[in-house]
Amino acid sequence: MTSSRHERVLAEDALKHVFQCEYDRLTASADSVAGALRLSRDAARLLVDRLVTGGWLAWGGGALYLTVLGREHAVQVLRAHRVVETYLALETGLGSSEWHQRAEVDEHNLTPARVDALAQRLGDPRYDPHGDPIPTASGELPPAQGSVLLDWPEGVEARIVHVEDEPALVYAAIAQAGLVPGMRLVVDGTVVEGLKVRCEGRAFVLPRTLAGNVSVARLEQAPMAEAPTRRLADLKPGEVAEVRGLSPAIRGRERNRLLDLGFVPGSPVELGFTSPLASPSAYRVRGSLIALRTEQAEQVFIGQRVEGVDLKEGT
Amino acid sequence: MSSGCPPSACSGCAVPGRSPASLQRLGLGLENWDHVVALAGNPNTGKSTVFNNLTGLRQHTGNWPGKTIARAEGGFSYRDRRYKLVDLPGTYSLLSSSLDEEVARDFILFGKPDVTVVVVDATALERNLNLALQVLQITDRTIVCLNLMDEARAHGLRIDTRGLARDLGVPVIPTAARQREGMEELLGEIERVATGQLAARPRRLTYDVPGLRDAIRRLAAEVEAAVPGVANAPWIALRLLHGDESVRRALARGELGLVSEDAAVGGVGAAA
Amino acid sequence: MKTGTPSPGLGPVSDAEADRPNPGDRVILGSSPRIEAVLGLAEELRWRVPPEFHDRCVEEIYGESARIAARNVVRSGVSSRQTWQRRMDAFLTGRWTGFPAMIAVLAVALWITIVGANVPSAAMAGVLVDTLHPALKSGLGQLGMPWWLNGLLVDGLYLTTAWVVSVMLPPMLIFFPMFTLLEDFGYLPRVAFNLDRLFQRAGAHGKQALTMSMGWGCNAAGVTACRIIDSPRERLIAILTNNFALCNGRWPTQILIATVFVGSLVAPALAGVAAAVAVLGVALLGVVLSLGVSWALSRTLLRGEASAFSLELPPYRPPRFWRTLYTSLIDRTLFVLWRAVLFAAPAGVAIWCVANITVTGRPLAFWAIAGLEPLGWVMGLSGVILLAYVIAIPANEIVVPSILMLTVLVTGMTELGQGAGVMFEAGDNVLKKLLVAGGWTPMTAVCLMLFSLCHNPCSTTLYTIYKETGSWRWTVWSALIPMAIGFVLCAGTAAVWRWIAG
Repeated sequence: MTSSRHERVLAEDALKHVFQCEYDRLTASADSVAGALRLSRDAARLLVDRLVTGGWLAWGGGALYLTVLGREHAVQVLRAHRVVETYLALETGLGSSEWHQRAEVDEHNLTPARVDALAQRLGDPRYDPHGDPIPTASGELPPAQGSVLLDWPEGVEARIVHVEDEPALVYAAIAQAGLVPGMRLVVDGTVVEGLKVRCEGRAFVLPRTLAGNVSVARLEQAPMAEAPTRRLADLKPGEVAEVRGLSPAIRGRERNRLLDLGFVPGSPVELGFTSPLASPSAYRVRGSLIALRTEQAEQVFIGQRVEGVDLKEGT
Repeated sequence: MSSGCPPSACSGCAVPGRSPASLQRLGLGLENWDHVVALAGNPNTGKSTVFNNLTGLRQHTGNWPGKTIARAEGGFSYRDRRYKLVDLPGTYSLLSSSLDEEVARDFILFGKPDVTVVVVDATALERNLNLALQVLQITDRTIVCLNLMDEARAHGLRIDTRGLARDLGVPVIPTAARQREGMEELLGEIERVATGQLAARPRRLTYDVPGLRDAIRRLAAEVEAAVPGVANAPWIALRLLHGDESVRRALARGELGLVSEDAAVGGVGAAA
Repeated sequence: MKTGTPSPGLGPVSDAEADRPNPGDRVILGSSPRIEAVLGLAEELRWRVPPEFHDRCVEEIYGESARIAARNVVRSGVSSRQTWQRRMDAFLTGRWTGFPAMIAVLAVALWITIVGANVPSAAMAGVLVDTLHPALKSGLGQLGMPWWLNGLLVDGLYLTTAWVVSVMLPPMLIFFPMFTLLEDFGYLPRVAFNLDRLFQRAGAHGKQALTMSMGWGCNAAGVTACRIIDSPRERLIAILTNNFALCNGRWPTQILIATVFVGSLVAPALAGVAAAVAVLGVALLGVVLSLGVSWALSRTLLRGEASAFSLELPPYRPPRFWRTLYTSLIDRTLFVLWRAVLFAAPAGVAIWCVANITVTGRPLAFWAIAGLEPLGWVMGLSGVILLAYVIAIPANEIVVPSILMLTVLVTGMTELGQGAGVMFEAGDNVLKKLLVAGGWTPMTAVCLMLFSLCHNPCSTTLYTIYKETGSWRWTVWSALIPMAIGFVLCAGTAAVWRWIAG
């Protein structure tokens, strides 16, 4: 039982790998399978042979391709993986570094029916927390987009479309830098340490190793709101500024909740006062006092100081 | 400082108030009602005071958000009609960001109340109208109860009630539930809406977002074709685009069709 | 699409795959083709609408609200109440004033309760116990009631109930309205605001400060209030740690023991203050334990990070004093008292029975106490206290009355009461004499205060936990965690105390 499960996991991982190669327009081979699955070349070759005999994979022009059967199964596994990651991000308190590892295990255990049930509970999300599209239940997946941030021209505004979740260390460092799919950024130049980046009211230098694992694309349409210059956490007591938007890092219910409380573009917001322990802080917005932790205030984008506005809370 | 008091403190009302003559409080006596009335509103707007005034029950709520989670029910009779009053949890929105919002939203949508009274805080109109507008997208049979008018006066706020009613397209009744002001007018309006004497034309939002308007229009047309007479097709379309599971399920089960009764009585089609 | 997708693994099909249905299947319940067309179109359009359209919709609604409000509202002048509210917040959440204010509020509330409850307590006991009890006993005796029935009803049932009422009612009458006033005023969210950082560090939700405060009124109510926490993980943590908030059943125990032992250590003028400080210390220890256990839980059983937190700070509203008094009397005091009486009456009967039914020449209670004595010694308590605790498992509020009755039995100081297994009225001095005769030291008092903070929740709370979590497992955990901590805390304190005392 255990060994058959192990074989299935290997087989599904191989299918997933070939699928990813096709999606990224790369060539899959027994050797690339060996690399991706950390198998010896012989073991990988054996695995590929078995999958070809079973009708899951086929050879064509020296490259491995998925058969219809194989593609269907690969998409199912991919869907399970991304739905599980989304679930972990939205509904559990687990840190972003744990999503991928857990999804790698669960993707092999969940039946499509359970994946569908999970997705429906989450409101059929379209994108996973890394910015990747989730295949629909019927297996549809939009084509890949975006190019590596390292190659992106200076001074052209871009949107982050994908953050690679492997290797885990690099992923954690990117998360630490506060880069999340959906954010807008501009590359201002290069220095020895990496790229000079301006991103949603923050300017910093992004090391090359990290920039290599971030994909960006052109903005599909004109920006919805004026670009933010600061974050809510930068606000001084008594100062009023306008909300420009919420970071894509705020997801699910938390996002809805903040929007409902009035943290929407165009809302004037004022820092009322701060807790004796320095966090949370209470902000006046749309007639109420709302307390947010510093980590959250860091995810609310705002503009410059607005003069002559007196915000009154309800009484 | 007698004007400032939490909604809870007015429960039970030791002081016999000027209660409307034809109101009979039925407390928990809920049998054989003619109409169902839902009470919605932000937290801390005096919703429970209105509820207690009408039913004679004592519902205590403290001065912190989220204290009422379950919904409370009570009954009253007014001019020979019996009403069941359902006090929904206080919420900022109906967009399902938490459990209590789902409870409130689902009741307004699927509980099919004959009247939904949105209690709004007159001193924080901007925040409170946010919820009222959302309710207007779902149901025509809405009354806005502009509560805490005493507080608003103490703050030097003057509110043009008629202008507000015109802008919202539904009746607006100014009240000060703690002083029992405006209860008679509220009851009269509830009766008019419940019996279909009053056809409202609530303000519908157009969601002027590039790329969204067309999607809503196309989908709403399909919804109207599939569920004839549905009153809130654009809203349903928007929820479907949002991936709202309970709306999707309700549509699939044919439960949303019953909303169309509202349209038949209210005589208001959906503004596309 | 085919059914029964084969497995790409070459071995036998595993369980997980055996029931893989057609992936295209969606649970669409008896819908018409038109409806399916709608759902299909929605699915297709969802990929084309802008990703952040929901944000934009909320923005639209808010924009519309703002326009309508601006058109119809005229504001004139500056509200003095607003200035007053801002000053209040500056003080109650101030960097240097926030925490002292919080502790002072709690300390003053406790002090008023302790000092204020003494007189009415004594007066009530004078009527219910000193006058009514002998009258009832002799009256029923003259009517020819057999001694055992008379004892069971009057000495057991009536006297226990009378004791509970006279000990519990006065502090509750003072403490609950004060708590309700603070709640209605809008202070509780500010407490949550001040303490949030600590809860965040412990991996718990900021609103746990609110549910903990509700627990100070009643743990069962506190557990129910945990519904305001959205994240299931943090809700469980809040439920499991709510018992560390001293509830109304335990405040009287704390207050009584602190008054008798701690209060008498200092000059009489300061007795009330000293007792209040001791009870405050135990209450604050409860907060620390609550944070500590939350921290440990979020690293073991309920692993995860603190989720996002947003809290509305409602405007302060000057409470209506008399109305609040009335409401809290009806909703809290009478409710809690009724429950206590309900549990006290049968417990009174039980105590009378264990004290009067003999086995091999000795009362049942004697054997039970002897058996529990070693464990009691280790915990700095005694067999009497543990037996009282066992008898009082249904309700925390009657632990102290049970202890007193059992102590009378063991010390044989029957002249204080009216016979074995009988509750009695006792002034603080007499009480102390009795307890000292029963082998009590200040250590016993301290350990009992700690034990009263840390033992399993009362039966009502346990039932509420089961209802809220729907799981026996978590209900058992919620009882085991405080019991284990209580044992360690008491045994540790006793060991250190004995070591220092030589």
